[in-house]
Amino acid sequence: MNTMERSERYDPEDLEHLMLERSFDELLAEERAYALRHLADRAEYERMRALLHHVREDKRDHAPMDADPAVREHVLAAFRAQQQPQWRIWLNSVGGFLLPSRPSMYWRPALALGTVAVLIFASLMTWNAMEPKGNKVLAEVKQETPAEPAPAKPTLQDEQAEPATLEEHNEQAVPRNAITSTFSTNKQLEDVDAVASAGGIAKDERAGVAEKAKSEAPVTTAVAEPAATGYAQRVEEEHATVGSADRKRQFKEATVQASSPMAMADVAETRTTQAYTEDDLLGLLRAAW
Amino acid sequence: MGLFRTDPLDLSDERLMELTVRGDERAFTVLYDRYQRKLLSYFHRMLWNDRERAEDFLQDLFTKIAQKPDSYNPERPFRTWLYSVANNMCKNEYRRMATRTAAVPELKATNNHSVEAAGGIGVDRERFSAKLEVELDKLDPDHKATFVMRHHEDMAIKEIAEVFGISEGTVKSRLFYTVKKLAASMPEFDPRPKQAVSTTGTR
Repeated sequence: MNTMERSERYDPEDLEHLMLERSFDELLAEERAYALRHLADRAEYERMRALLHHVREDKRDHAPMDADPAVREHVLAAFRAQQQPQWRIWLNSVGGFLLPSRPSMYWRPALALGTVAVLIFASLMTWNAMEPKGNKVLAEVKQETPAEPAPAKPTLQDEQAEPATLEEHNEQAVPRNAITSTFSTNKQLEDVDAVASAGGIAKDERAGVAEKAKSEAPVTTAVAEPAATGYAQRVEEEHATVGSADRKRQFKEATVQASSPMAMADVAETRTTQAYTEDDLLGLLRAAW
Repeated sequence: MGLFRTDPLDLSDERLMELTVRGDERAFTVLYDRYQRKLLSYFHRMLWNDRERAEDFLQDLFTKIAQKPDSYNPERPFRTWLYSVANNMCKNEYRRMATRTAAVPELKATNNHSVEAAGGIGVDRERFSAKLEVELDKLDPDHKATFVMRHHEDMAIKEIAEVFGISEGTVKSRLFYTVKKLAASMPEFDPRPKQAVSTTGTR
């Protein structure tokens, strides 16, 4: 029981203390028994004791070493750099980029970036030059169209029948489904007028075609008739005063797309007439040549 | 406010580290001054008595602390944390050197110091120191580190256990068997007369 208590009390650390303090011969009987439980014999105890003493002396002989002051400076510089605000570090990097220590390093990247920038600029300019000018023309038309003063008290019938300008006519005609048939008749008349003015068809022929169109229109409402009669004249006037050849052509094409098959046939006929005239001219030119 | 200001030299390591994390240069300087000798000595012993290398390691260690003071865990004692970082650095160096010596065998000769017998007490101590270094290098790095911490850095068993993250009993056992092994490998430094050694050894 007594031995058990002792074995719990001692451990290798205590053995180390024993070795440093006393030789094997100086140990008590209990301590000796404890040492021999961990060691083979007295000789091993003495060898270990000698080693520990040598280590102590060796440590005593070693003078404490001081690090080089440069190490301290370097470490403190690292600490200061870490404590520097981040924006200042960022500014340093910007400064380094703008004022490089070796500008020759930037030669090739700068050349490459400049080439890319020129290519992008050239492609943008080309794109702008090739862009269709339809929108611009439409804008010009809107700007050029003079705003006519509205009549003092126009009746509902007048408003529906005779739009002041072409644009007004389009604005009125497109959304209203109720006068679609009238619109198609008007378109036919416009086509006829336009083609006649372009191709040189006589006015009496135009009148005949107009009459034909009127009679062959599928549905003609009461509102549509004054529009059909008056609008052709208005279009003719407007073409004579304002419209250019391009505008006429555009308007004619738009009208043909929206008109009835009969009007398409008429337009085709007039186009053939126009084409024939051009062919004649070309033939004359060839002959002259 | 200045009335309540205490001298950083009186502050504990943990408090100084707390101030270092907040950017207090003075606290960091005090920590460096407090540990630079001990750590330089530790690195010197662990890295084959190479002073330049030891200084490089000391600089690396404190530069790491300066750059990443947040890496310190405030729940651990600063001293044990510092030594555990230093010990890991040494282990990495051992691995690197092992790879190098495997690639270039000539390097091994530069790290192995030959110990020749010589006369006189002073010379005998030098011999012992050199022989001890050779024998320590033959040990497992953890055993060597444990021995150096205990017998050269005067660290308590509990502290060593915290550095390695092991129990105190393991540290004691490790120390005991390291001393036993070293003593067995260095019989020439037994101070007893050869005759006595032979008689007691056979007893």
